[in-house]
Amino acid sequence: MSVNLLSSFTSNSELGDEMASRGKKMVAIDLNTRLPREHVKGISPRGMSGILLGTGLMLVLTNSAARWYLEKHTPNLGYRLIQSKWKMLEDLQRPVDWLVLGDSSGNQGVIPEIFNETLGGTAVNLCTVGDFTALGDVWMLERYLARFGPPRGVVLVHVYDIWWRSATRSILAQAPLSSEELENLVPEATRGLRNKVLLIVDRHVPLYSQNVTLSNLVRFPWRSGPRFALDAHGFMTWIEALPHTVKRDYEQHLTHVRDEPLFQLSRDNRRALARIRALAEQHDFDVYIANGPLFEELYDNGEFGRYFEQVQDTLRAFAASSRRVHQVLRDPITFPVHQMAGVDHVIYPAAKLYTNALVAEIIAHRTSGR
Amino acid sequence: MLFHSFIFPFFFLLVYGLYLSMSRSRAAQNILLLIASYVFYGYWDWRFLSLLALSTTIDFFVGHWLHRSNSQRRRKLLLTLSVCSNLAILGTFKYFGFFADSFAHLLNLFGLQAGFVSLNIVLPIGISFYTFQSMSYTIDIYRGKLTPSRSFVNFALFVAFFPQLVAGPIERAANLLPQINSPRKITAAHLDTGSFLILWGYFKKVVVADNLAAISDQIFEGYSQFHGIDLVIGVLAFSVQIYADFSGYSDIARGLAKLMGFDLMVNFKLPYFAVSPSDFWLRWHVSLSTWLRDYLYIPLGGNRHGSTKIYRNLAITMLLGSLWHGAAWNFVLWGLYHGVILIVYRIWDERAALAGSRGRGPINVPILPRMLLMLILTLIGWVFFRCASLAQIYYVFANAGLTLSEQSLHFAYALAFFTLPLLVVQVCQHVTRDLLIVIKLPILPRVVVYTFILSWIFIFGVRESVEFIYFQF
Repeated sequence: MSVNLLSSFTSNSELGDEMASRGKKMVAIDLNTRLPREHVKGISPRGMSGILLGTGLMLVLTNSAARWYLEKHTPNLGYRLIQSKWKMLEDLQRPVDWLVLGDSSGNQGVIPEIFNETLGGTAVNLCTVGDFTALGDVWMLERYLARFGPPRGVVLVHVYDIWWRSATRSILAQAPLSSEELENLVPEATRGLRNKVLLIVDRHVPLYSQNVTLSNLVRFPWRSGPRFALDAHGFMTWIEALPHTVKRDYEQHLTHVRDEPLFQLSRDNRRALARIRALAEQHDFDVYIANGPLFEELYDNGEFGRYFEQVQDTLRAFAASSRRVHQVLRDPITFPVHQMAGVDHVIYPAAKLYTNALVAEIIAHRTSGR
Repeated sequence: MLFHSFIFPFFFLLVYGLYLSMSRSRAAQNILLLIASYVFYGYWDWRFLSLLALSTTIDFFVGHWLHRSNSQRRRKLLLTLSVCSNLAILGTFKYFGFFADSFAHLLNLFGLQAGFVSLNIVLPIGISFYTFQSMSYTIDIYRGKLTPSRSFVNFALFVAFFPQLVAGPIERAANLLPQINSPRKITAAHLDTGSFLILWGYFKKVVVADNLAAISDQIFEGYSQFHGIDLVIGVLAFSVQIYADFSGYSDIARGLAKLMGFDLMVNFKLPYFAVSPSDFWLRWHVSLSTWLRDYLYIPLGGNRHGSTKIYRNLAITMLLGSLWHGAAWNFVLWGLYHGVILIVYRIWDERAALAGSRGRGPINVPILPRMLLMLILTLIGWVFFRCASLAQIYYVFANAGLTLSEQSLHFAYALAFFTLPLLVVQVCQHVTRDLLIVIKLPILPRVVVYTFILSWIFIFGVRESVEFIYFQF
């Protein structure tokens, strides 16, 4: 008796005939008996409903758990920054004299304590991220005004390259904005039914909208979140210079000004600036628009310089349109690579220099009556 | 249109809603599905609908003429017309460039310049699938195993049925046409199984395959920067990727068909648990391997006429089967490689059987080492399949090893992370011999598993469309 495998290209009878011709009996092991099959099982409509509903419910719970966790412990630096600054705004117990708004260049570039020491009074740094654009400044300002009335002054610190951008939907979803606030300014990212639906998804379905953050969290749970230290006045201290990041950013910024040499103020920023001007005139406070700190080699580049001038012309024109709006640090304060963590992010020693320069220009403006 | 594209769910929901609303009329459903199938295919490139229509029309009429004809000579001519027209379409769009370039290269070796015009022909997606499917129809009629379809619409739907049009399974008329011709009853089991297949298919495709593609592409496309264990990981990643990609797509196709009351053939039966090459081909792309067996291997002589002819038939079948996968020499090498190991195993089987084998031959080796050996042989084959050149093939074999690099741990972790859930399910499927073991779970564990699958699809699903590997076929 011989044993043989049954080949997929051999039928039982063919191989059997061959074996018989050689005087051998054959026991064929039919491989088909080892192959897996689909054994279909019946299911009742009740069972199916149970599975559908159960899965839906569990998915909602999973999403809620993810949402809760991300609201408390998100490892996404940008989102955490936005959440923290909005919480800081909402937790303010007393009015401040100086409201510092803007993007991440201001977040780690403007030290409110220097405002306190030099200008007197109190200051709070509520700068977030560039993708919020000046719309973020408007919403924060309106919230502040509604609670405390006008501050002594508002400082907007923005890097040159936020002015062409529109606010991104994923960033908008991180701020506790009401539908009225959104309807008042109608950011590009929320226009149309599709975008409105996606904004709801971004806000309430992190399982889908924050998949990158969640995937990193699940795959690498041992990795600590980004170093994040906000002081009581909202300033984020950054100690470590990052030359590689600066160089990489430098190339990206140059590529952008080469690819898009003509500057155009975005619709979102145009509406935001108009609103800020209106608020300043209505409530009688001064607004100071400042360029954020910049990497010196970028500023020295000719192509960049031509683009930068276009941005300044726009901001100058805006400042000239109201006696309440002033442009300061028109020529940005620049720093070498070893004092920067990005092309527009300074480390702490440079932040002191920057803030002092900013305050000095504000003082100069106020004393000259400009 | 791909199954994992943004628009497909909306397309399917619309078609499915209309399909259900027409449940009283099978004819209306078939017309709807035919239109939907042409829209599905035409969404990619409407120009190639003409090829699909041409192949369909030729084979429909040839089928009828074959059935009516009593003259053997005429029947052979008609069959030749069908086969040649389908192969001509396939040959022109898929193989012209390959053979032209190869011939020109050959002439170059002898110092001759070939003034070929490069046609830059676009490869219509799914062409290898629907031409083979259509050919099987006329061949089965010729063999007397099938009567031709009376309805052109029904036959056209058989050829173009959108769930399996672009990436299989390659259906047989004997299986699919009766389902098209008959009223379909959508049972709870259809919905249950179909839903699971779609879910599991998407998981395999967008979570496992697309994430492992990032590793395998990085290693294979920058291969000269990698060595040692990184190359091994690259091969492993590709092996899991190609399986998850193709079987995932097949599962989605079968799941969609099940929701509409159709049962398409199972195309993958845990191929990496195979114990021999022949076992592998009973499990991998079953619809193609059985097509090649029935329409190529057996007509060549199959297992008749002695060992030498059997080996020849195996080699030819694997060679032509490899060319089906692609018009490139690495696919030819892959096919030849599989042909060789099929032959080697067969020789081993025969000698063990003739020797009255106790202690000899593969059957007496425990199953786990046999599986492991076959897995290693399969992985070696995938090197030929994936590499873009002979130089790359040589490099991978010469430099693969156990030496680590800075990235090895990162690659290995990603490979393990995305393979583990697939492996757990597959082991359960293998142990129980049931590909639908998940739907046998009690309700609560099943809900947990489904939630896990959906959550991972949301979190890890690669969003930008990574082209389904088998679309190049």
